[in-house]
Amino acid sequence: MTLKKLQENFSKVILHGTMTEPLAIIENGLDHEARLSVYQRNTYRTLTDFLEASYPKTHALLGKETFQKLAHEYINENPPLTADLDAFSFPFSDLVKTISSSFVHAVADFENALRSCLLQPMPPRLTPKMVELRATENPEHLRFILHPTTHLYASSFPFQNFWHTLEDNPQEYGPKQTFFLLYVVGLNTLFKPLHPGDWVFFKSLESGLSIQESFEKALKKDATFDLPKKLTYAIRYGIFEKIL
Amino acid sequence: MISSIPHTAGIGLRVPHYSHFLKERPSVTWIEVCPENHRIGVRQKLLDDLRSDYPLSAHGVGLSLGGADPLSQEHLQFLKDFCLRFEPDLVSEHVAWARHGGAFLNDLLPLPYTEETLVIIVNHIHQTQEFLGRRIVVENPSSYLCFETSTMTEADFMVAVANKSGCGILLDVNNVYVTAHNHGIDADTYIQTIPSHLIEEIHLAGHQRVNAPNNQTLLIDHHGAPVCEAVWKLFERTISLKGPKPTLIEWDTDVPSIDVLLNEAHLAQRILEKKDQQAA
Repeated sequence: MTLKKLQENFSKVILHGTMTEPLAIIENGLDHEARLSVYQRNTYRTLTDFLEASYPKTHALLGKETFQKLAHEYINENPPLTADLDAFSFPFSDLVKTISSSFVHAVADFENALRSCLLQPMPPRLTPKMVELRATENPEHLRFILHPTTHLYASSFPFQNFWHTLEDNPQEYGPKQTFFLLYVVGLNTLFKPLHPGDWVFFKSLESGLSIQESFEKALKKDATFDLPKKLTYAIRYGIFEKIL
Repeated sequence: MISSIPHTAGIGLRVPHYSHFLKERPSVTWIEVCPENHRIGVRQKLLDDLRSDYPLSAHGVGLSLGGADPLSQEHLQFLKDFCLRFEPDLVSEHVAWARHGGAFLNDLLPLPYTEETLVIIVNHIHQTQEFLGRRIVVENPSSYLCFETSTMTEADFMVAVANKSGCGILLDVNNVYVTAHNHGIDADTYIQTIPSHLIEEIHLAGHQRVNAPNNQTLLIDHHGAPVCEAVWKLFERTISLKGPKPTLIEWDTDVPSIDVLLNEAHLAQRILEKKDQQAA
């Protein structure tokens, strides 16, 4: 048997438990099934562990048994294509949608969004000094570019009210349209609920509008929108990458 | 090319210890990371911050050097970019396969030790070294099965791979111990077969003993426990035979506090120093 054929057959055993041709394994006191099952378990355990680490809240909500069953189904149908396991794990939330409530799916999707921020490139952030240098040049036309690790996220659930205790008290919560700013501090993604005016402001900046245009749109949504306060906050937390 | 990793004990940098490394810069002479765990984002930023303070070894798991399929150009490019950015002192991979027909199985799967396999893996190592513009080292696997079609021992295969490709060997002493137990071979004979000049790094880790049918036991290389006494003894005999080598403590599952890893590194260091003192 060529190496290619052996690896093809071995892969089928690992992923589907089917052996189309004998693999010529030395038994030496232990049959080939017992020996192969070590590799099969390793593959499923490491991939399931990765999914659990990627979706800790979803895991808590579904429970270990249901999560593992779902993970096995996912691995069978969608084995990783490369060693980039993040790419492998992101679509897992779509499978969660098919078997669970909209709440659990929203949690899985939010976990994806939080993790996604950590995976983005990390160019330097906009500093107050850089803003000072640009502030005199037609400030109304300036365009503030969001840092790649900053995400704007809309959800049907107010995660800020229960996110940090969800694993200890897994239960479903009621819906409420909520807007979030996701941003990276140190090694973690933090999130902050946004008022509708703030959301419109940051979404406008994200779409490429100038600071003046974004401010005007925010004011239409919220007459009390405080531009200096929002900009100061955003710059302090590294929300922006640069000004154009 | 000789690695500039010191001939001392280092530890693998793992996610639960990132914050500690950033804040405390623990006293360890070198670190090893898995490039696949540092693709982009905050982890690369972390490595940027740590790189100037620690010699670095990059230990890959995704290249599938023993795969019959062609190497992934995308993965080679990723490794090259990683090496250009972080300039690791040593780059290692495994004598194993993980990818076939478009599926990456995320495990280090066993090879038959045949002439055909030797040609394939040597070609893949040549291709990798050429693409990266540097020598790599390859690690002996822990294994749970052997193929009837093998025509050489694993130790002979490792030496042949190194000699034909020009790569070095990362001798995982725990893997030798696990493999020897699982296949009823002699661990010391295995280690004696590997020439000292080919060994550029040593790995130590914990394993798990599980009951198998027919009153058999299998050792599983799970990297989730302290190095066991028998592996420490085997390591001591290895150092006695081969001389001090850069030695890494690996711990990947149920990762304990950093103090536990540093203590394991301290134990390894004592053995390395004992050999140094004997030589003096």
